[in-house]
Amino acid sequence: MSRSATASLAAFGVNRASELTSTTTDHTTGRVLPVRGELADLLPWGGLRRGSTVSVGGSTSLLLALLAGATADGCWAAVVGLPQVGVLAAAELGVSVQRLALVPRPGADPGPVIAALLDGIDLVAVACPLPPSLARRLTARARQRRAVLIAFGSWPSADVELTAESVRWNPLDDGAETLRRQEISVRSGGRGSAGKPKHVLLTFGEEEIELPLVAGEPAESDEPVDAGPDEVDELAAKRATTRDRPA
Amino acid sequence: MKDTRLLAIWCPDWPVVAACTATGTGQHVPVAVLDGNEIVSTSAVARAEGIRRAMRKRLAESMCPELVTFEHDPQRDARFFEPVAEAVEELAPGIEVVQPGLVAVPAQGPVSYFSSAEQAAERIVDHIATRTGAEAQVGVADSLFAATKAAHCNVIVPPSRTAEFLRPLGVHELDAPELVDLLRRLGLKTLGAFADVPENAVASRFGGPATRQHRLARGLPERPLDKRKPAPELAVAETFDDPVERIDAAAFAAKILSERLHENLANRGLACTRLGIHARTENDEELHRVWRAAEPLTPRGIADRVRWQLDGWLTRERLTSGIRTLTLEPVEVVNGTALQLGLWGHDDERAVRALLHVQGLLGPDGVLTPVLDGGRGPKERVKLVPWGDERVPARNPDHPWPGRLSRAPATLADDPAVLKDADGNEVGVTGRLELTAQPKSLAVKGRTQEVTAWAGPWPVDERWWAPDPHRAARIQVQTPDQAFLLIRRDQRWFLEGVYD
Amino acid sequence: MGWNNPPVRWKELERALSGKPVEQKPDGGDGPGWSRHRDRYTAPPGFELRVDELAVTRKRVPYAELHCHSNFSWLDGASHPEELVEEAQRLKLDAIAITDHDGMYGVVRFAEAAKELGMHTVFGAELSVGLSKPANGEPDPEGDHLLLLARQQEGYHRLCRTLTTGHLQDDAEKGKPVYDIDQIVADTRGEVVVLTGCRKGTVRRALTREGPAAAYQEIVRLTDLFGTGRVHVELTDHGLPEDSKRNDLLFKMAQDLKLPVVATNAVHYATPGRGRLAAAMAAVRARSSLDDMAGWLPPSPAAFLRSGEEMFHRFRRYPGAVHNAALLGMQLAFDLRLVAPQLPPFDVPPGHTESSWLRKLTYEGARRRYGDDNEKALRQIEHELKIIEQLGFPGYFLVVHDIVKFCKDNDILCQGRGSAANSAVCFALGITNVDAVSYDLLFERFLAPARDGPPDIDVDIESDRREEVIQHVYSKYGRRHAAQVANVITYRARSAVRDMARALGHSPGQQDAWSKQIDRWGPLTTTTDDCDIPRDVLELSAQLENFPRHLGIHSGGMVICHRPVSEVCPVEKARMPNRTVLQWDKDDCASIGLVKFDLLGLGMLSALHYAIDLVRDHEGVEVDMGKVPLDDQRVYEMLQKADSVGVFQVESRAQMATLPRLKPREFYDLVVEVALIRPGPIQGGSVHPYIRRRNKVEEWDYDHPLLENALRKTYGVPLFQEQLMQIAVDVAGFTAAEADELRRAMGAKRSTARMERLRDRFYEGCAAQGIDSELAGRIYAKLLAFANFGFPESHALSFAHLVFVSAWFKLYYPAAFCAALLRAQPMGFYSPQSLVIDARRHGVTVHGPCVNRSLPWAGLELFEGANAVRIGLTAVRGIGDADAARIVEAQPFRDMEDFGSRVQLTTAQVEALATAGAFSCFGLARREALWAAGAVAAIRPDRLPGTTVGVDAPSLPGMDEVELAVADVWATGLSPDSFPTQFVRSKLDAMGALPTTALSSVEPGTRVLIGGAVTHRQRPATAGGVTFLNIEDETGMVNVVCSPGLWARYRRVARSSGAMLVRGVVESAEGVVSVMADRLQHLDLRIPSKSRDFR
Repeated sequence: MSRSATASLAAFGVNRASELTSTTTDHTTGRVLPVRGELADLLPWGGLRRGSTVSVGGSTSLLLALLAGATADGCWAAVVGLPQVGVLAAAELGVSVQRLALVPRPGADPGPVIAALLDGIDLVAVACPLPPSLARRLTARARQRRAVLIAFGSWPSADVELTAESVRWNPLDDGAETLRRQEISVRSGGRGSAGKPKHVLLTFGEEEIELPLVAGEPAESDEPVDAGPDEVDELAAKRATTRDRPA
Repeated sequence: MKDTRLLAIWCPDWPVVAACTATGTGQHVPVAVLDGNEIVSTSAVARAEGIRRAMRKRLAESMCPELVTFEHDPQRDARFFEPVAEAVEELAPGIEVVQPGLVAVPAQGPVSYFSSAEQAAERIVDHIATRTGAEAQVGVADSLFAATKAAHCNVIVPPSRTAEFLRPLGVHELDAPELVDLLRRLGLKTLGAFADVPENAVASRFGGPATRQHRLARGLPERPLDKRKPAPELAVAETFDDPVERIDAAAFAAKILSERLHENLANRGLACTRLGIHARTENDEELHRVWRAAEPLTPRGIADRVRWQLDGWLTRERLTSGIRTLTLEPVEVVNGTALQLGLWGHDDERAVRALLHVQGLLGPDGVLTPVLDGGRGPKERVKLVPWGDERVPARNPDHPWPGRLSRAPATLADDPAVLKDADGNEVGVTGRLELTAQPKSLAVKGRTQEVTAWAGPWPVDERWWAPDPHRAARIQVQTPDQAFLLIRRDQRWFLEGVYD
Repeated sequence: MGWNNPPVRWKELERALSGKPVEQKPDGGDGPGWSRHRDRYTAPPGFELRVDELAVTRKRVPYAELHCHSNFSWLDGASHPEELVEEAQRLKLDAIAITDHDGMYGVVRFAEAAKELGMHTVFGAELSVGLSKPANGEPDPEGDHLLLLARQQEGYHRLCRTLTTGHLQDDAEKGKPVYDIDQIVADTRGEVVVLTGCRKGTVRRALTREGPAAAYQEIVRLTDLFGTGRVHVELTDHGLPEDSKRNDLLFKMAQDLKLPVVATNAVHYATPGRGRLAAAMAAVRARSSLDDMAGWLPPSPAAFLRSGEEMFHRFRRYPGAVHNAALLGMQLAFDLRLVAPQLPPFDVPPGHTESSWLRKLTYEGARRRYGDDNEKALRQIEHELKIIEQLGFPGYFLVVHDIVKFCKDNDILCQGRGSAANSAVCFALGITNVDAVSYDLLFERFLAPARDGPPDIDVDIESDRREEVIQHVYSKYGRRHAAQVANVITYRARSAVRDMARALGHSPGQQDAWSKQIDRWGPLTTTTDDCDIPRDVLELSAQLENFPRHLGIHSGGMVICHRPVSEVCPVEKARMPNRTVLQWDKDDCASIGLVKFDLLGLGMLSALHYAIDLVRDHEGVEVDMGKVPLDDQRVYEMLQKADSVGVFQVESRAQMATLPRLKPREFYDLVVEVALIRPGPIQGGSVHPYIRRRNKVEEWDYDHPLLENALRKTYGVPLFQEQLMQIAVDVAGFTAAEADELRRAMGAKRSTARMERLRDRFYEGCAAQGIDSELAGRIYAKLLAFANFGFPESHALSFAHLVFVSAWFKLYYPAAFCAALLRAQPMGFYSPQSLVIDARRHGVTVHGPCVNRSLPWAGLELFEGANAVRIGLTAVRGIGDADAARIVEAQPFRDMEDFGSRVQLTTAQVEALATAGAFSCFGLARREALWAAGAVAAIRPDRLPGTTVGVDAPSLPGMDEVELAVADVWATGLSPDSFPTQFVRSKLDAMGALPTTALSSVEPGTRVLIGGAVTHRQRPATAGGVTFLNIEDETGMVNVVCSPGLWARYRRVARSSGAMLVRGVVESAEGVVSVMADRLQHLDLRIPSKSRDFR
């Protein structure tokens, strides 16, 4: 296939290679969409059940983390009404952004937009305030279309509610270090079997490295280490006097 | 031979004309259209400066530094050509587009209608000029090749005199540079001289492909007679729930349908050489156009022509409503060699349709899709493109981009911030890339917080060579309960993101 | 020594020589001899020698920068070595290292500047280990970097040795050394210090690729290899987010391993202001644009030199890192001047010293050359030998003698060039053919006790065989003791503009257009407002100008050294197979005192050799170049008519314009002709004073009788450097050695103390001779004006001999001469087409190539009772040396089929031979042969004869003479029996155009029309924007002068047309005719011709 044809396929989010074949059956037939390790402990189904509604509060990172497992597994996700979302952070949290669609401004009447998305997209995250009646209709639509509706903020009829109680990072040092590791403390609650509150501490980012890395002593020095710290001035002074000065 | 007579209408320098029309470029500037590095079309002014077709860009620009160049864009050529094709069709039904800038029509109809070929030619040229302002020339001859050459010199070749007409033309009229060079050295400088060489001698000296050129030189039709009229069931059609009004939607439709047509043909070992495209709008307007190709069309070739044609129709003013049904009909087929495989699979179609639907509600910019891009800051590293547009990064994200941040904020922002030191002076960044003082407080969005720790500065001096330079320095700042990314540009701090 | 005239405006020169006052401006360093020469470093204003204050003042933080790339890291460094030293001094660093990639390319300049500014110097190199291809063209070149710093002088030698080993490895190529880590360790252990390096050092590579454990292992490996006390963990901070975390890790590892850490800046430029240039250079290195490189570039210009305080602040988390750097810097520093090399001992027979052997050889030669009783000569030889012995150079002369002897033994023409011809010893040894004694040449111009280095003996060797001589030197002294001198190719205005325009993303066409707008010679800083080059391109280009671009090979310089020269300066492979080259240029070698021999290729010597062979083989005459009668008036008559196409040195447009004026009548006139011509308009009355006086149109007298001795030969006009020296001797009582010092001082810098001293000495000397200070001042001013463009007389003498011999061949053996010139191509001023038509004008028949009669190169054959030229097979498009040799080997052929079955060539090659008419010997028309070529090329050797189909052509049109000429030009680049203009002559006649030969009989001032092919376009820097076109038709050629205005008006035709109709006014002066153009028009010749433009 010509290069440009491939490029135009990519334009529609389609990858020709193995990715397609390996994922199609799972995500179209599976009832529960996968989530990252510790998040599974918070959700009553060990993942995101198709047709359910989950509400998230307190941390954008938490919302994005929920999308990671499923998109990586071949599902499509849409985020509605969150223009400031950090897509790069999403990618760092494991979201496959090539299967992520953003509807930053769904307009004065977001209902039809969200409904249309629920028709074809596996996970739809909604961050715009809606009248409760519309919210309930959308929850029903999600159930009917076997999509997962994730509400960012409160939602009248969520099956599960996840709330980030704190977001902490590794401490910076004056002028050095960088933010590398994030800890989010999450509490879950909700209706029915999901109603029992749980606490989980989620961590994202790099681990600390401990030294020594290698057991045993380093090779013994076979030559004298060069002059000690106090000798600079002495040395310099000596050189200054012995150095031949050009005319 | 009479029934094979063709009338060709040719618009000189069409790629240049289309590019100039699209950009509003005037006639007084030297213009060239390039395919990659090679010039494919020039304006008269450029030719006067010595610029020629097939010249390398580098040579052309050094000969004429003020040369204005455009990238070759067949879709643009087709879009601006559609009104010309329509104008011709108004006088001569049954036209076939050979390429943007060139249409052919069996000569019999217009000739008998206007009583003579000369009359027909004159009327057609006038009509095109009145309708579109484009300049055109007409030629009539017994083969498409000859008719095209006749159009280049604006002549009507009398019936059965085609070979005679071609005889004095130079061999360079053949589109086969290496063969042409050799023929010239052999003293075979005209098409006539080439035509006089026996066909079997041509085959043994120059090899198979040269025999096709030899046929052209003799005024014979380019394809031998293994072409046939295809069965009607080969046609494919699609009816759209949401009428197609936008070009990107049309492109999508074109791909799906072209793919199906190609499958149909390939299953029977056929390939298409003339393609009929029919469309019906919601208001029951009928649109129809035939494209004629010199070589059997590949799936991509079909899709291109359908897209060009839809583009031409949709951008036309007269269309009152969107396209409801689209039909592709192979008008002429030949035995197809193994053309390429299909365009794509049918997975993901559900998601694709849902997103196209939302675009229908909100407009193309209503649905965005992110592409990870090259760059250093969290904003540069993501490019948002309207759904359906090509997802190509502006800068290569696989390059290392030294100095990019290891963690991006989950929430982006762009708010002024004030960062102060212990003495209440604003903290700055020096020319030797150091902070002027330790930051102690941060005021952002009307709230002042104590700075408990910070990291940086990490200066960037990017794209200084481009019209959009970016010179800035970033630091990360921690307050008792939050973490922020700040950026300093134009001597001011801004909040770039929140690590929530 | 170069052979191009310096860019001095004619007007200026004329004024100087005529004794009128001259405004002297330094011309940018092209001194006497006119090769580009780098002056010794002098500190810019505001920089003074730094008296080492660090022991006393204690405010600042001690720091030495140990990782520092100059622009000799080849596009990976954006400051000259000198600039780095200056900035280091400004920042009061304790020492600075130079650590360029894989070499010591910049160390001499670095050391010179450091000495001048009193900065301590550390020497090192960053080795690229594991390169699989050269680094150019890669956005991020592969390979692991290993940063080694020399522990003083011995470490330096070891480092040079290991660099050489890497560069000379079997698999190594230019830009791609191949190191073996064990070899590096064996070469350097104990004498170098290792820094763990930058991003591309093995430690950081291991860290990013495999993580901390691998990095730790890597440090341990380095300590195992180089010794614990020799490895320092390097910390750098370029303001990248990951820097601090990585430094934390490395610091912990170092503590854990008890290794010292050192802070460095991995410097690539002196100041932040050069960061952008560095980025643009990175794009050039990757052969890409900044846009495409953006993802590889550092985020900000952080790799600049920082002060101790700055470093202390930056590395405050890592105690000791900055201090350790200062300490290590002081320990490693040494002065490069301590590395003083010598010549190797020359192998002499038992019982002889080098001196006695040289004496023996010299006197043997003197007997042959001078006989036994030329007392003057013997006295001179004794004088010279004394000086040679006193200076310790006998070995040097023995080396040169050996080279010349090798040439003689192998029948290779050679002759000493330049000032060697001032020496009777050189004459006796056969190094030169010019007798210094009989021409009264000054030996001290060649060798003077006051000079600090050995003399330059340049040997011209016939260019086609020079390689044999070079390889002889390599095999005699070994690849580690002998190497060729590098030529550092630097950015000129044009190349800088081109590269910067490309980096900034402009298209190749625009790069071409802009670089053409740059005045060829002028520096960019003077090119500003009158061009449409974008500002940013100009600014970056101006910074880039004079940066080293790549390392070339000096045209012939070889260095031979007593210790392996590769331990003084690394040696690497050149692009040409079997060549090895030093990393230093001739100025660097001279600065360190390496002894250089110049073995230069001269195309004319090859041509003369071929001519001698042809005349011997075809005319039965043995010509000895040394015995050609220099008083043959017919030769001078020919030259007076400017009938000199193909003749050495006097064939160019400018020389042709002076020959009829100078009217050479004796050998010395040719010596002067060679010396006085420079590109510039000879029109407009400014005739060289020498010509005026020689032709007795000007009254003149010496300024003072004492000048007569020096200036008698040249009618009072100083032309030669020797005359300058002689004047100083005669007028001011200088010794010969002092006179040489004056000459050199005048040629170089003008305001030095040395100059002051010599001027005072000159005035005193004059006063002693009774010359008043006013006259002394006038003479001095004249000498000063002249010093910049004077020419060594000895050099002119050597070349004049070649002028005469080549002219002699042209006159008496025009066919052999033409064939010889064609075989020696490329050389000279004219294209083969012009050479052939000139021969034809002189009655020589030229035949095109023939598969049965041609040799690979042009030769002679008998035709109608005379020798005719036969073009060689390699002249045919697509036929290489090996193909031609195979054809000649298989000659003769019966027919095309026979040819096809015995010589395997591609279809295109057989077609080219057919087009060239090379099968005409079989009675085939070219087109029939061309038709048959398809089938013939397909014949395999095992094919039965007579079974090939497709050989017989259908009837094809015949060719007219124009078509034949077109075919000839297409296939061989020249038409042996026609000139394109002859086919349009009737058309030209109808338009009233004159043939060029008719112009000499036209009244000057007449407006004429001429038409012809453009053979040359030239715009000499000295001609004030005037362009000269050489227009040739079938009758001859004429010089056309185009004013800048005319050029602009007819820009398109002027620049691109291969042939033109020129309307203009005939100008004539003393037999030299030219046309002042007022209109140019394209002329369609149907036959393409190619001109040699702006060379």
